[in-house]
Amino acid sequence: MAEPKQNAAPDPRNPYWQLFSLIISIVVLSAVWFYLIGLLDYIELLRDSSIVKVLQYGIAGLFLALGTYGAFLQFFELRAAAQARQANQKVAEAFNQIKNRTPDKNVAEISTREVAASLKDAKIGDEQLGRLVEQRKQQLLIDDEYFREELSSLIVDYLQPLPRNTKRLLNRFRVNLLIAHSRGLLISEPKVTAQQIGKWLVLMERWPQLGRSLSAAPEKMKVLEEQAVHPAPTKSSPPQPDPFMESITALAPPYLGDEDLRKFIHSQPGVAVVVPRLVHYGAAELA
Amino acid sequence: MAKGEEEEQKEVSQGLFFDLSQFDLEVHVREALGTALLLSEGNPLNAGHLLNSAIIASYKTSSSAFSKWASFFPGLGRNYFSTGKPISRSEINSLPVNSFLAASFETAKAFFRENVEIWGRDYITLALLAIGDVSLNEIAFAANLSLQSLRDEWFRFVSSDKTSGNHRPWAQWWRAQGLQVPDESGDVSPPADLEEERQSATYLLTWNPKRHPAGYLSKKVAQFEEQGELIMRWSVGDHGIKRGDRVFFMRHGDSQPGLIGAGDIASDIVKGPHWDETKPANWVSYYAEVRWEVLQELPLIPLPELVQQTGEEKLWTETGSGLPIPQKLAQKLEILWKESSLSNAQKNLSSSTSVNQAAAAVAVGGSITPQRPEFSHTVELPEVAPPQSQQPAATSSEQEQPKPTGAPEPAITAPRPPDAWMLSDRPLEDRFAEQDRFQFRDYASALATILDHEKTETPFTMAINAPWGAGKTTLANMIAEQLQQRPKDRGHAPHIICWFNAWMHDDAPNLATAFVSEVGRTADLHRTGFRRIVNPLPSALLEPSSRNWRRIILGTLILLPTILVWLWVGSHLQRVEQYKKYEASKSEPYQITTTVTKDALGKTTSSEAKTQNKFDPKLPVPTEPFVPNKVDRFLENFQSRMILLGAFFTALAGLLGLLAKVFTSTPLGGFVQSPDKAAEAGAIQSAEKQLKKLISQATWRGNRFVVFVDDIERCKLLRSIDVLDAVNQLMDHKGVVVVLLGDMSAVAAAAQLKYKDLAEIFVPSAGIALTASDRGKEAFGRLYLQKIVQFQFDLPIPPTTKIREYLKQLAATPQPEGGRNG
Repeated sequence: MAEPKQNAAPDPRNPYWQLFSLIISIVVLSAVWFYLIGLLDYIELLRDSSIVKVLQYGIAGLFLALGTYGAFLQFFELRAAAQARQANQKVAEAFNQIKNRTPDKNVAEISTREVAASLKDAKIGDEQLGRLVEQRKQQLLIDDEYFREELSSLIVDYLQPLPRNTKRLLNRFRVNLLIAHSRGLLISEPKVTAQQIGKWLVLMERWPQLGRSLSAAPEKMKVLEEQAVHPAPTKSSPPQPDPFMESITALAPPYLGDEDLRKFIHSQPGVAVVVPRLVHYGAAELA
Repeated sequence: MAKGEEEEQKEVSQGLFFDLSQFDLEVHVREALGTALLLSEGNPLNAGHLLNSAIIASYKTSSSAFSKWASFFPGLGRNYFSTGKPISRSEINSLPVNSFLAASFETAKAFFRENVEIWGRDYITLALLAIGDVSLNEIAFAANLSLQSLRDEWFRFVSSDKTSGNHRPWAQWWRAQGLQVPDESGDVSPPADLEEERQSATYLLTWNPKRHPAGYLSKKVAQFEEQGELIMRWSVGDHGIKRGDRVFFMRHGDSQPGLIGAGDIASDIVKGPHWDETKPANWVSYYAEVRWEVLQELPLIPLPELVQQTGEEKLWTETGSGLPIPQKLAQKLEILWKESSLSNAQKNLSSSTSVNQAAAAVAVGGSITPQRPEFSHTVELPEVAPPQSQQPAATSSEQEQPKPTGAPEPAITAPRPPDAWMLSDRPLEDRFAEQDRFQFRDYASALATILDHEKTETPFTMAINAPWGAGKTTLANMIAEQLQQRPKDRGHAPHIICWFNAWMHDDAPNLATAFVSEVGRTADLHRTGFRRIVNPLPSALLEPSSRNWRRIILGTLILLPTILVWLWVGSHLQRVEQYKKYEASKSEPYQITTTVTKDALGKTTSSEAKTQNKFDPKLPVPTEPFVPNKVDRFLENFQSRMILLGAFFTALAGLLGLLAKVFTSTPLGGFVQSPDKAAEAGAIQSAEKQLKKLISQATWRGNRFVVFVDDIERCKLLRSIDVLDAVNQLMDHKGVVVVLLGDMSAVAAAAQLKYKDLAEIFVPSAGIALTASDRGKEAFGRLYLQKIVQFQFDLPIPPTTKIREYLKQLAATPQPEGGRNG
């Protein structure tokens, strides 16, 4: 048996043809029922009996009525689905127009009103339009290749780039990006960027204990970023104090001496301003 | 009360009756009297019965006096009691009452003569002024007032309320009962809010949860609760509203409509783009800053109550914002609003009357809560003033008397019990937009987007991880809802949702088989009818009831044709027999039968009997010559071999039954019946293929098959791993998504335990830089999970501030929320 096409193929049935073929089938089947029940007449006891007639007309009539009712139900369902597909197609086209017109615009900032303005003749209900626009935005958000490239470089630099882990991190990234979008973090100040989400994810993946400490005290991130600016002190006598490592000792002792961590915290973009927001929308789930 | 006093009261009470036949009773009063009789349970009526009946009647009638009276008892639950039938005319001349009520009635009759119609306010006053009736103490206690204060408040109401036309000389009535009239020195001043002529107009603003962003109002309410006040910009329409006007806030929609706020306009009106982004860009709205003095998410006055109390419906159901409220209606609304605010503020308090005790009992789901004893007998009250010498003789035995002006009213200090309704911990199942307190919708939306996305590769297994009670099932319900709605919006088939609660199947012999059965059954429901007939679900996968139904249907399908064939054969043979007899009757009209008998001596005798050789007249007479065909001959041969005929039909039925059994037996059924044997015979692969076929047939429209496995960690030890193994081995098909819900650390621990020998000697590489702390005891278990679960979403625990808000909302919520299961 052929595998179904996953989620890409809408129901191909034409509602009108489907209704026609169903009605014809139902009429034929009713006639068959009528004939079959009529065979009871061959039994001597039932010959010329009104019971056979009642059964013939009753069962075949009921079959015809119920079948027609079901056929019309299916017809309306298929027609509604066809209209919804059309609406979805129009919304997608409207999105493309807006993207072409304003290529630098963040997808999250495209409003329903903008899309509605592009859909002059489309008869789409307000609620359905809102949901379709939101769906489209979400799809475009996680389809954006740019995000993936940014994240890939972080993974290559700081994580062991095994295929499975890379895929998992991308999954997490997408989910967190969508949550940030739903909560308006991508468009409200201080704006959270996809890169910052990616950086926070990598931190949680590679240095989970530090991530947990920072989730509990997000203000510490600012201190760490300021301290990471200074390079590690050279070995000297007497030894120079290293404020960054002192902070790490307090927050997550196992990572003491991890120079990758200093480099990572120092890398751009900084996340100190947005860590409270990232924690609030659920960064803890990344641990 | 002392025994002697009780007996005295009993004696006095006996034989006293109301005769109300000379008066016209308002319909509310007749209804209340009917309820009072119900409450009295056959005893003489006392003041308490009358006053309680007025409260109960207020829920059903539109009497303003009864409503006002009920407003003194904010702690009482509503609609818990059915009212009695309105009292009939034949009953009103012989109502048994106690002596105190009888005395009060005698006094009242003098005032009733001027206007013979008895209204609700007369009814209450009559009872409230029943001097000496101890049941009044209960009433006062329920109102959280002293009896004198209650009477004073009532006096102020009846004497100031212009709706009645002030039809009684209330002050005289009070004095006639020997009671001090409040503010005796001058006119009784009605409450300021009633007298004040409103200079500003009143308008109605509206909010529809369906048309506004989810959670918007929740945030505003939270802000209001935090700051104690809130100024919020809102669309106010273009109906002449201006700064300083009074506004009420109406919540629309199917669920819990009603008034949710009140305030005033704090700014001038400004024009701006329409708030609804879906409207054309050139549409405008009028906005103003609204200063809210009350704002809450759920109605303070639900719509049905509002309609009932105000007698207005159209205005309250108009969806446009900023409609003016007529002045009279606005005044009525103000009173109602104040009463409801008071009621809300005192929600946590409840009275001690039997009415309230019963209300509390009903509110906790019908169970009887420990009841406090009747107030009048056991609740400790402060000493009350001794009877005053100037009291009428009829009241000599009463326990309380009005105190001289200025004397302090004894305060009732008995503590009130808290509201006794309970909250269920059931997860949300529907109305998510209104009930989602922790914005789980955002998580659900993100996860549903991923699962619904056409590029998401399947099979895909994810886990939602959180401790018990964090809301996993609620989140899963939300995801399921979205997985059905999102494809529909695009015109695609909704995804198929299958629920499996591992804990509920914990007693099943094998959890994996229970899981496969559930998946099979759900898939079967979504296959086409043709598929279900041609390729039926293995019987082993069916629930017992479905299995029985299948047996009944199959049995009928086998028996029916068998019976029909039997009838056909029988009738055919009958026809042949009939013809033979007919032919015989023509050639030999009579049949002679010779009988030979032998007696005891050995002598034989014979006799002959002659019978007519005739056919059955009930059967049709053959009209044509009978020419037997092959069938007739065949059946004729069988006629003498009925045993063979029976065997034939038995074999036919047996064969059909066997075919049906073979038809519905499959490797998948074998796996479900005996997984160990299936494994030994290598049938698991066949079972997996068959499950794949079932799922493919169910998802023929390109949708996905999403299985939610709930409570996976609550199973008996190691059984959760059985489910994971089943998921791993049997659900590895395109189009399948499995969502595991549970505390995944518990599942990881189970895996660690199951594979403990391996875990002791082997720590698989995670592929990432593991730290010492990460290499804990459960490293193996967690990595085992990672092999099966491709994405784990750890549901964040809501911050403390959110929990605090939630508690506040729960305290104010009139009904527990929730849905299907725990």
